[in-house]
Amino acid sequence: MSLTTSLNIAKSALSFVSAETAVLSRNIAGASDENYVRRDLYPISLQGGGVQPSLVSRASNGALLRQFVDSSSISAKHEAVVAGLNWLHQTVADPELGHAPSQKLAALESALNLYAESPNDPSRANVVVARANDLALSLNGASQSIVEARQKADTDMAASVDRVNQLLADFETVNTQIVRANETRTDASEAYDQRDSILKQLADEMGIRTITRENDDLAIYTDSGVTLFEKHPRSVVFAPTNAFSPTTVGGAVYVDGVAVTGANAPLPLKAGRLAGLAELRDVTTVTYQTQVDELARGVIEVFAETDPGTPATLPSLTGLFTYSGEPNLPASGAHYLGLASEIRVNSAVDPAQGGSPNLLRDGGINGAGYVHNTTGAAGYNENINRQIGELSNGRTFDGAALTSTSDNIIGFAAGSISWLEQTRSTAQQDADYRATLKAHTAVTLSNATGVNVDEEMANLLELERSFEASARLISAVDQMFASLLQAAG
Amino acid sequence: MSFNGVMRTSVSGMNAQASRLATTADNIANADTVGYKRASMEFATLVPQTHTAGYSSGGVLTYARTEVDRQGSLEYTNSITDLAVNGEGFFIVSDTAGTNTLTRSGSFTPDPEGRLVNTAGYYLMGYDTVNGISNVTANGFAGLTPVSVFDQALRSNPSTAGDLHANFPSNDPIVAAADLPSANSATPEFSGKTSLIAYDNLGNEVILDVYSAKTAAETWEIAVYDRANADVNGGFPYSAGPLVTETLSFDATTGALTGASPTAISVPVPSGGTMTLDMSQSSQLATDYVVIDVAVNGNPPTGVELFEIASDGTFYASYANGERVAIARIPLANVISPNNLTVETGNVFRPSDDSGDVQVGFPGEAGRGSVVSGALEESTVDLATELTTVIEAQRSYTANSRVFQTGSELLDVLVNLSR
Repeated sequence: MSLTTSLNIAKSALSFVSAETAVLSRNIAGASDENYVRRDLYPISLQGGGVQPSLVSRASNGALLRQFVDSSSISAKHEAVVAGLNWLHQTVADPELGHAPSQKLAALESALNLYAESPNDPSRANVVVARANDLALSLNGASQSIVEARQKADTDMAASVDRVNQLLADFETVNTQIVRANETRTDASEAYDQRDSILKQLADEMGIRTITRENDDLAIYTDSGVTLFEKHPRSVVFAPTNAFSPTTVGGAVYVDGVAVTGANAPLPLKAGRLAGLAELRDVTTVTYQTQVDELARGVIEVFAETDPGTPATLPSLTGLFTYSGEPNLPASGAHYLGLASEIRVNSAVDPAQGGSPNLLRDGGINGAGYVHNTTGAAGYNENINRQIGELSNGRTFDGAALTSTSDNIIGFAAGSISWLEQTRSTAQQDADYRATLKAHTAVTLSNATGVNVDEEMANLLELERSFEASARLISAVDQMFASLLQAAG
Repeated sequence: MSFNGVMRTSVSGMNAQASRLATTADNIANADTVGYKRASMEFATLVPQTHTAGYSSGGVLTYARTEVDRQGSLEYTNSITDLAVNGEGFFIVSDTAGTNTLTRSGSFTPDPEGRLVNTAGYYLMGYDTVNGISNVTANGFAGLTPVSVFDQALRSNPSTAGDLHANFPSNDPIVAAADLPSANSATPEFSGKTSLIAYDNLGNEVILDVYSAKTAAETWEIAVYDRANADVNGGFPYSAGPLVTETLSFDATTGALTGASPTAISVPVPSGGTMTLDMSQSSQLATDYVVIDVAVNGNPPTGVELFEIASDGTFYASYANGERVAIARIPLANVISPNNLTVETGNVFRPSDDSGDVQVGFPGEAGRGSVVSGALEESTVDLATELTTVIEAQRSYTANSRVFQTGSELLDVLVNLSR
């Protein structure tokens, strides 16, 4: 040990303190960045005295990060479903607006009752036709809203897939940086921060699992086990549908050549926005479409024209309401996809289209064989009452509608609304719960890996003291040399 | 006995101190020279023929000594090509003429041709190990070449081994033979799919699609396809059948592979070698298809990214893909008596008759020290000691000059006697 050695040791201490100060200032700069993870520096003793700064170590917590990523993808899925259902609620089923088919059906029923009281009043017949038009438009509107909801979900899926591809490309860049840095044992903290941030964003789009490999190389799999990233990103492909109709089946998202959304997907996604949007587009809205279609079929059946003769020899044909397949009724008890978008008021009874509303009272829309009021009496109301009676008759609905399969049409219309509200509120509750869980995990994660400015300030004071001590040592050695030189001079 | 003798003795004393001061001057001047070994002056008496009747003063003999075997403390730097020997031994360096000498001064940097050259212009010598070391000569410098950090060829390695450990969902339904992925129909059924990147002989990437389907209770079929043959969507049907299929059977109790089951799949990589894909850690438990671990060796053609010098003197080149290749090994030379090495300009030492023959070996072997990368050996000079020596030399010189002066004055007296 010589004075020169003491000087060298003090010098290495100074450079360690300045390296630590640099890390500390980076910590403070990143204090408000949620993706920033606290860094630390440790001294390494050197042979022959002195210290060297270790590589920057990050206070990362893999388990917490994984929890956060998982809860955020589940939360994103529920949010996507809730957003779609809310939109349907606002456009179709909001009772405040009175657009709902069930409300229009009730209005039609009361108009019919009034008409039955005085069948000779043409203005009451006109009101019935007007209410019937409202109902048809409401069903058309509901079907249109559902199609728009599906279209929007499809567009969002395309955007989500684009984002996934972009994120995977970015991921490759930072992942390569991290692997290279680990090989060469250099600092890659910034790349780690970026990579965690990309993982968080990716988890919002789809549920993911990761595998850490040599040199902290990360491989990403979907939560169903399909490869998303392994050395290079895998292709995530989705062909958006430009124009939706009720009969359109949206395309599937393919990850690495395997379908991960859609009814026949072998390895379907379980979480993430994509899973939520796919559920909305392919399941929830499809069920609701079935309900609206069944409602339309029910309405057509209720107001169908029957053969007045006993026994009836002629088949029942479309009456007040009709559709593209007129005059035959749609097949009973089975779902006719897109019927709600086709239903309209028969032009034969619509005065606006040159029809006669009196046909409602008398029958005969489909020809003389269907005329009930053969005498032409102005006070005849049996045919109207028959139709009112049909409203409360039980009928069979397609099982895919997910509400009661045998109910009268009014009950079915109400059941459809309550199904939507029920689904929406369940989804909302799930979403709220998941959002809370995610926020909670975020706080825990931030506590474990974030920057505490108080702590950093305390460290700064320590560093200052340590720097002063080393500087004092240098000046002491300097003085010793000075006295020696004086002696030599 | 004569005044002349006294004066000659004090002159020899003054000369000795002047030499001593010269070594000190050299030491102080080279206090910050990397690998410098402190020089010092040793004295010995020179005794003329002795007479019992009187005393004839003799003189002092000087011997310069260099403390070659003393190690300086290590100073750490940020350059990996800064080398120091911790322990005994010398780097073998060569000048432009090809003469090999020894040094402890290891502040090497690459020259325009990639050869490592130190501050004094000497090239670091080592053995080329790309094709294995074959020609180490224990007592000479034969077979040594300048260590170069450039001119490393691109390298690519075909994949030969890999791991794919996954869990197969035990409750998944059994797939009918016609719907198995190996049947390559348009709509196969399977429980898991993962893809791996492997490399062929020329370093092209080959994506292997690995499908898993349950064929019977506790029995799984693994089918490996070449992605290049895939349909437009990246899946079935492939334009060619599977590269290989293998059937794994699991134990119904533990969920692990049974003893009789194959644990690895030999995948013939298209235009490449046969890759042994180890699946021994796979399991069949009641959860989803989960890939637990995946790795495939091999790499695409890459250039050298970085060098690393291990403590045993091995010089590694790291390729961009993470592969490490030993490209050279630096030997350390030693002699029996390092302090008798001939000191030459540029912190180098040459073996002399007194030092003994040079012995070449590798770091860590036979008492040799280790190579420290990113460190330099400081000079062994301690300024405080040198300054003290200066004071001592000054005092001794003054004392000698005083003796000379006294002798001169007495001679004066003697000369004046004859007037």
